[in-house]
Amino acid sequence: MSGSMYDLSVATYSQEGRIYQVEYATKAVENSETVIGVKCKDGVILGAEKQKFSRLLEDNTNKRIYNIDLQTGMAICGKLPDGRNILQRAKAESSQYQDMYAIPASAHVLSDRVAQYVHAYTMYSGVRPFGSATFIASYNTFDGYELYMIEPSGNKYAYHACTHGKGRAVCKSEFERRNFKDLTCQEALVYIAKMLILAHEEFKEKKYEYEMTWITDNNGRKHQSVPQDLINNAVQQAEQLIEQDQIGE
Amino acid sequence: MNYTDILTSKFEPETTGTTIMAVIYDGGLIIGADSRTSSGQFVADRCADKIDYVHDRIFCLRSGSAADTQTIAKYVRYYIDAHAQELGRLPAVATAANLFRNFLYEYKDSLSAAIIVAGWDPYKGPQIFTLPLGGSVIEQKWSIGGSGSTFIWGFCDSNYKENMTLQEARAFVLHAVAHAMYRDGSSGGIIRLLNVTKDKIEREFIDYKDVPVK
Repeated sequence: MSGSMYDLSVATYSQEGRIYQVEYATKAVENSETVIGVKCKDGVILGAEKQKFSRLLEDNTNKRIYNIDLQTGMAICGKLPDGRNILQRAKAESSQYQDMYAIPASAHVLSDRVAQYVHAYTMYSGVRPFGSATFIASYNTFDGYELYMIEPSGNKYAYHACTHGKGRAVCKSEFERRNFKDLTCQEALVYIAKMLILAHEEFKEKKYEYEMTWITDNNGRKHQSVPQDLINNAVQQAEQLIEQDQIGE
Repeated sequence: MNYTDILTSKFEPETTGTTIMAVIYDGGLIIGADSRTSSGQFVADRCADKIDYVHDRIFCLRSGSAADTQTIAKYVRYYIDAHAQELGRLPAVATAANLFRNFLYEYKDSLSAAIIVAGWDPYKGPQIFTLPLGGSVIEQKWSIGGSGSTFIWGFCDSNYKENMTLQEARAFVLHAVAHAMYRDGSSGGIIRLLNVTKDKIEREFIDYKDVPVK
């Protein structure tokens, strides 16, 4: 895919009707660490693979998944600083919405606002598109559990399961195989861990850790980190599953 | 009659010296209001409609300066409309109350407006929010407002019951508003009632001859 003269500015279409700068921004996301979002029977789980590029990094900090609100979380895939800018905007939108309308912003509204913001950066030659895809997971009493993904182009869709990053192909095939709608979040943790481990093959040499958060019926429907012991158990069981799969082959 | 005197004299600002009332009953709520808009001693509109539409199941009752309350209601109607379109479902009554409250609080030094927001939503059922002059919000099971309300506090306190039927609530509102109109010079005319339920809105017009107290 060569851009020739049409990829210098996001304000220029190519002759086939493509905007190369947006595609290049998406490439930045595709080459980064994998992030997964899955809606289960009783909740939503967000999972991210985090490379530890230095032994000097503190464990279990340096997050990729944040809270926008008590009941809404955002995971960032791609460039972390770009994603954090989007997060700031999402937080502001969410709290201003609640201030004005006296109800929490539902995910379909919030993701719409975020998508409009991300899209705005694809319209002007003076700025560059965001190099990150963001996942929004939330719960509210009327709409239930919702999961959205917003891409650098400004496209946003609601998903039962979505993924982005280098290991997305592996994750997508796992989505095909497993019906997460029938699993509880507790049961699904193993498969999330499995997907993250398999996705990590793409960055084999690097040290890594996994970050998982959820919103479920069992944790008061708030967006919180999955307890570390549950993550560790899930990773252990996942590794066994992967071994069995390999023996099976 | 010397018409020029009326035309050239300074008009006092148009106010809804008024009687407005809303009561929750078992299954919905009843809203009632008189119909007099006065400009000092001159009755500018003797058949006004003080029950303003905000959304399909949300209404507001206005008292104070007619200009202030009409303008605020117009803004809130617009904001609620845009909000409901984005939301894709009926807005919460609390949302409408909050939008009104923002105006009344931010501009409290310039406005003379007190509003009762009453409606039904699928989240909490029938609700009434009273928004007095300063911009505070109180949720109540029944609320009265306007200059005429001062004359009927005793009547309302004695006659209000929780979980009334539609007929009981209607009679309560009708008689209360009628009593207020009887004694308050700034209230009068006809009585308008509105029944708000999950399924429908029913407006009722009680002509002067049918007003129970006169």
